[in-house]
Amino acid sequence: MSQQILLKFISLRHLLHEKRTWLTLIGVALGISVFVSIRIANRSVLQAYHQSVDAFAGETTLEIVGRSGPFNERLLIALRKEAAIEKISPLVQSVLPIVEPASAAEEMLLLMGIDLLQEQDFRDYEIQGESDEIEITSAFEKLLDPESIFLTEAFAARHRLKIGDALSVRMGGDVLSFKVAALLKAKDIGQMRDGNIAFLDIATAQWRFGKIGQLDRIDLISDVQLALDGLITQLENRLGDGVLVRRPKQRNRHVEKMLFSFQMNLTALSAISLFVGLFLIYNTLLVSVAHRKKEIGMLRALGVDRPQIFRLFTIEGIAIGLFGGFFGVLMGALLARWVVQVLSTTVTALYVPIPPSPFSLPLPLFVEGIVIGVLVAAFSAIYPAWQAARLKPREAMEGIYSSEETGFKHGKLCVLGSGAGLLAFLLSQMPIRWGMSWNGYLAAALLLAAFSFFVPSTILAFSRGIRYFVRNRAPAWRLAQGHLEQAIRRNAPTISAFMGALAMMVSVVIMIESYRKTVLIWIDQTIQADVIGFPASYMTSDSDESMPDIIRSEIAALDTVEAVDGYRSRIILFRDAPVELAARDLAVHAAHSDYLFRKGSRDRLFQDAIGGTTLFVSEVLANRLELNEGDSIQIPTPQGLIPFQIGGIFYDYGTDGGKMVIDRSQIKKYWQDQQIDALLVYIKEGVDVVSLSQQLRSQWGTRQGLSFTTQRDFKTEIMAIFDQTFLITYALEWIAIVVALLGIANTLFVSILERQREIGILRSIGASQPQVIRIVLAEAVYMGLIGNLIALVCGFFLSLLLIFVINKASFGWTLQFHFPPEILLHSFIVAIGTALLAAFLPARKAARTDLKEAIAYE
Amino acid sequence: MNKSACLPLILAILLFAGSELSQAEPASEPSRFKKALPGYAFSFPRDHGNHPDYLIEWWYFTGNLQSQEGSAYGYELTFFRRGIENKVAEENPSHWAVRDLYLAHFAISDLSNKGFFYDEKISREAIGKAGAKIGKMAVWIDRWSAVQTGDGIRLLADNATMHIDLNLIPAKPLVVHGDQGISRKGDEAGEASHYYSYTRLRTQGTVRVKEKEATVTGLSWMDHEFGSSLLGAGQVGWDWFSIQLDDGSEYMFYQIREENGSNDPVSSATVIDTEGKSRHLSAQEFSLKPTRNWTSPHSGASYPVAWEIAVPSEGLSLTSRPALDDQELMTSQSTRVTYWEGATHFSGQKKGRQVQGKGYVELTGYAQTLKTQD
Amino acid sequence: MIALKKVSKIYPHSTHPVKALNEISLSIDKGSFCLLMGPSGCGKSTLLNLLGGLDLPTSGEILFKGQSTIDFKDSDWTALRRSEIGMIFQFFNLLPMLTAAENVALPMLLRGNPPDLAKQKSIAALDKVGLAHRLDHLPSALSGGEMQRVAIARAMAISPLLLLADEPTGNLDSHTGNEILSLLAAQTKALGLTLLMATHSQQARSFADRIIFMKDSEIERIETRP
Repeated sequence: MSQQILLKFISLRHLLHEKRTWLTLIGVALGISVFVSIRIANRSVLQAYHQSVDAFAGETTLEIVGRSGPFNERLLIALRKEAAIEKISPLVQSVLPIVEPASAAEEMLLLMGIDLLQEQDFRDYEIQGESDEIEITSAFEKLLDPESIFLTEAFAARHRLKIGDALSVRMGGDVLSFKVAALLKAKDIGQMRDGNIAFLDIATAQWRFGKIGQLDRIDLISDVQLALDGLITQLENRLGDGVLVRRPKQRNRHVEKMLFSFQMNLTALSAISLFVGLFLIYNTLLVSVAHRKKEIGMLRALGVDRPQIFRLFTIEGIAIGLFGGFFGVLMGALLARWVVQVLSTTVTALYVPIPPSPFSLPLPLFVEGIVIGVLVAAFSAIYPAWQAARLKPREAMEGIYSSEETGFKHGKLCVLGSGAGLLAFLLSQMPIRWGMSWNGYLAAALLLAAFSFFVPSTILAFSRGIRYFVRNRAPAWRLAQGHLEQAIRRNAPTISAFMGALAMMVSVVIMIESYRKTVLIWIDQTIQADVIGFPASYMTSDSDESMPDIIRSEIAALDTVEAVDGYRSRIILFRDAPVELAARDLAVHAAHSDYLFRKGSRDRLFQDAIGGTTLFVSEVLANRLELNEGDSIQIPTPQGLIPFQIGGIFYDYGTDGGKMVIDRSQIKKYWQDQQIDALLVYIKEGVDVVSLSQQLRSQWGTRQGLSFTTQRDFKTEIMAIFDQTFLITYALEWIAIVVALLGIANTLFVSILERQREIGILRSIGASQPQVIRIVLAEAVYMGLIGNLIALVCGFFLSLLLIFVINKASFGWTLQFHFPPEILLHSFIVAIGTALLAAFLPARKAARTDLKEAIAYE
Repeated sequence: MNKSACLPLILAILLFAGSELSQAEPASEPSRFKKALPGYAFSFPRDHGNHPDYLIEWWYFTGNLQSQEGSAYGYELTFFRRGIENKVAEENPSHWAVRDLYLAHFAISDLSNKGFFYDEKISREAIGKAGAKIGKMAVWIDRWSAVQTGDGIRLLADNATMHIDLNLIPAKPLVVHGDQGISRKGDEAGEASHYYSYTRLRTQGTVRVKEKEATVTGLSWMDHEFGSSLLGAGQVGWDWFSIQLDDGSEYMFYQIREENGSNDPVSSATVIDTEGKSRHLSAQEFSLKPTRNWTSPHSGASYPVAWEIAVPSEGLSLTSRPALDDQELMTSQSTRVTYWEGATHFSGQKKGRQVQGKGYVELTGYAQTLKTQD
Repeated sequence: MIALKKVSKIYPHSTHPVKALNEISLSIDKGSFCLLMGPSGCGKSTLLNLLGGLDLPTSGEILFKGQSTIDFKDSDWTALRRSEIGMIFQFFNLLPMLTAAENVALPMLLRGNPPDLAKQKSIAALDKVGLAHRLDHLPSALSGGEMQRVAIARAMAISPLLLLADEPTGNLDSHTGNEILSLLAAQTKALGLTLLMATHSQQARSFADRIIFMKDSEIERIETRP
């Protein structure tokens, strides 16, 4: 008998006619869909990000940026002497909130001031005038007119702007008004920031942004014949250490590294569903082998050989993987639409502005999804297929129960489990370096495997443990307990899969709760200002809007106000990577608020830093750059590199890029920067916070475009952003649970099929339909309980890995471990709820068993 | 930026629209620019330098060169400055604010290989990126420059395919064209320029076209012209000739064509004798007759590239022959003006004697009219 | 005790419906020991299944204690099986993961008897079938005869009025079969219950009050013994 005939007559019929095949298919498809959707979303977001970067860069081969921020334009004079440079394009830019048109109000607009006369060499776009017959004089005037602004077609279309319409943006209380001179027609630039990008002449930009004599960046086109590395060194020597020369791609290397870690975490999480799906196929096939023992025996008797049986089951598994993969990819594509949105929002909130990413299902990802499905299926089919192949024909034909009676070697599994656990422990002890935590992920996988190996022993222990208690309970409990143990081979993988999903859920919840708790403590200790004021655009974007120092003094002069701390944040390039340099009135901060220092006396540290060249470094940055208390570091300023001493290293969970804090006197001194990004207002005792914040709002709010929020609202907002960033994590977890639910349902279905006769007996001796249902449900509850029990322990260890190894390496945060006690209740509810939900259909099927067939043996 | 649609016709403005621009200014805000009026007293080296008080100014160099190996070249290097009037921009303290716009054209005719190459630049001053000095000749955009050096002028220009580095030494004193210090371009007062030339500049240096570099010698011609309005209403273009004859004399002719096809009576010419003495000729004293047209495969424009030139009072009759037909510049990027500017050979009779000569001919306004695009 | 009025059972099939019982009318008195005999496939098991409510007749009516079961729902039959009808099968049909005592106690537990009582009764029932020493053994540790005794004890423990037995000795050797038959006869007599047993066993005839011979889905004849 050839393999084809076997497949056609046997496999196909089983696959098509058995409901549980469909359950498995759905489960596998779901698992793959999650994985695929995350892959698609990650890719779309990265692509959108790169696209925006490329549109910025255009033909640029090198770019120059100031290490301390905007730099002196006279640098160009030196640059022009470099023969290897063919084109130079200086750039001044600002991200500001839109005031007019009203439909775009508070949207952020990236305004790029460029030398419009020579842009054509750098960036590829087309300007659309109002007609083909431009009055030459007016076109020329428009180009350089200080009111002219060039918008993307996408933006103009969205807000129904025509050439000649007004557009204004707000900048620290001033409103800058422009007239639309022309529209830019270009795919790339229109996609960037959703089209919220505008060009104006560099002269206008310098003037209106208050950057006379300064540039934010210079783009270069160099001689293509020359090696860039040599040129970079040559330019750096010529231009001095105030600027950094780099390839446009390098601009985002740092962001990309963080994005990579973030996306890797998501991919790892999405892989859980895949892992659960793997168990599902494994289980389905194992059960299938048990269920079809007689058939296997008959086939063997008819002369089918072992390899053929092996192939039969392997191919059945692969078929499930193939179809599961196919549907999984389709579902993943659907799911990705949502994931892409959420991911863009999260990445924008956490890292860099990402334009809404175009959704696409690239062929490679399509194929990848299916290939993953097939590989997972083939892998999980090996053991069941081997089991089928090694059956002796006579044994196989004897009957159903025999398979369950052979000894189960759970002892060996325990040894394996201990080994895996030990290995996981050793991996977790490796030193932590910033970047992708391979050892962490590997340890997590080993840990999951280790606990899976302990599942059979736990089932036995559990079964024996409850035997006494169920003896005197309703018979359903006793019968279910009996089945649990009897069908251990089938139940163990199901419970493992369920446990894995649940454990990840538990660990992620513990991680997020720990994180949340840590952030809460951090906020409570470091944000003690009663009212916080900032430009309206400050919280949600990369706005460059700031306010003049005079507002701080005005508010500080109110008799209800005790003190005001002015906070200014600038981005500097420290060791070639962007770092937030925060400057604040440390004396005010020390008197009213706090930093959580890693070590050292708080008072002493503040004392050293106030007015001096001692700074504080956030722990994330310290970990990443291996900085320590007492180190002396060179901070780039417009006055050159200035040595600062690291006074304290403080815990900070506000940014992930790392942060340095200096006294505001220093930023005034070295940067001549008097602007403020945020005001932290401390009130006198007995003053009503709400009425003061109302007063501030009415006096400075609308006039200066400032928002004032009370401490409580501010904290709530931070936590809302925090929760938003974990939305996707939760969603992934839930899908893994759903896949596990399908696994349980599947196992119970098979269990019902195998126990028809038993159910018949029960019914014949007076068991009612509800009683039969209860037996099945009871078994599900046991499975849920065992899964939950192991998951809690496994989840606990996993959360340690997540918090202290994976997250620490990926992001650099040290989180305080916090075990939320309610997780015990929640996971119990989820476990039992899921189990009962999964058991519902199988239980109903059991109750409807045809009695006469079930017991007929004539 | 798309080269065909975005940038305005700056040269067109520069050459033709100046008067309109000035006239368009509201009466209450008088132009900051002076008009070229009769009675102007030239003074050197002051007048070699920049005249920011005038709207438009250019420094123009052409020449015919030969290498020792016998290769022949023509070259053109021109710098334009155009003042910009915008009250708001004038308040802008930024160094990038545009007071003047600089443009440059650079062309080489590789006559032995029948190759013609050209390039252009446009720039604002932008902290020394482009500029022109006051009080001496020094004008530049990036690495293209024309700078007075001792008793001569040094020209530098390059791009990926071509390069010149030339030293120009006057063999004759400079010549002021026109009457009373102005060269008339139209009937209105101020429709004129201050215009002088070095008509015979001994030239040596290097020329590179693609990979081939050559040491060259030859003769160049320089024009320096400034004013605030050059063309009057109804004028469509001009034909301009610079001729260096082998008897040591030079001729400059220009005629301004009107919309109705006639020549404007302000067309004129200058004769420079071997001693360097110059004589102004009015439109009635010479004739320029096209004898052959060449139709450009690039723009489709038809240029009269060969001429018959006659100056009865000088006993001069010449025929001109382009050293190469295709010497058309389509300067789409900076100026959007298409014109023909080419090395040209002359031969004929002067007072009964055979004469030969070389020079440059500039033919503008054949490819497009004032306000059209493409 | 039990009466059948023109009871038919037809198993539907698209082309060849199978008539398992054809208009059977029959009445069985309380306390009688009845045998159902006949060749395989004559309808004996179908008849027993109908009487136990495991299957429903296609037409006709079954009366239990004079009461019509025509409107019985599954739950009504379940209630009957819990308290008044016991069933014994050829393959013993014990639950493999339960001990002998648990198997016997199960029906009582299912109907809600307190576990202590159920345990007590199950021990008593096993004692009656001579298995007091085998209480905590799993079925897999019992011999065929022992398993059938457990099944009988399970059926008897609820003190049914009617005992339905489908080939209870079919899987046993003749000696053991005889023991089981004696046990059944003794129990029915002692408790005054009604026993209807489908069997091929000739040994059984000596215990019976009445023998109903079936052939081709119909009753062929009925032998009654004094």
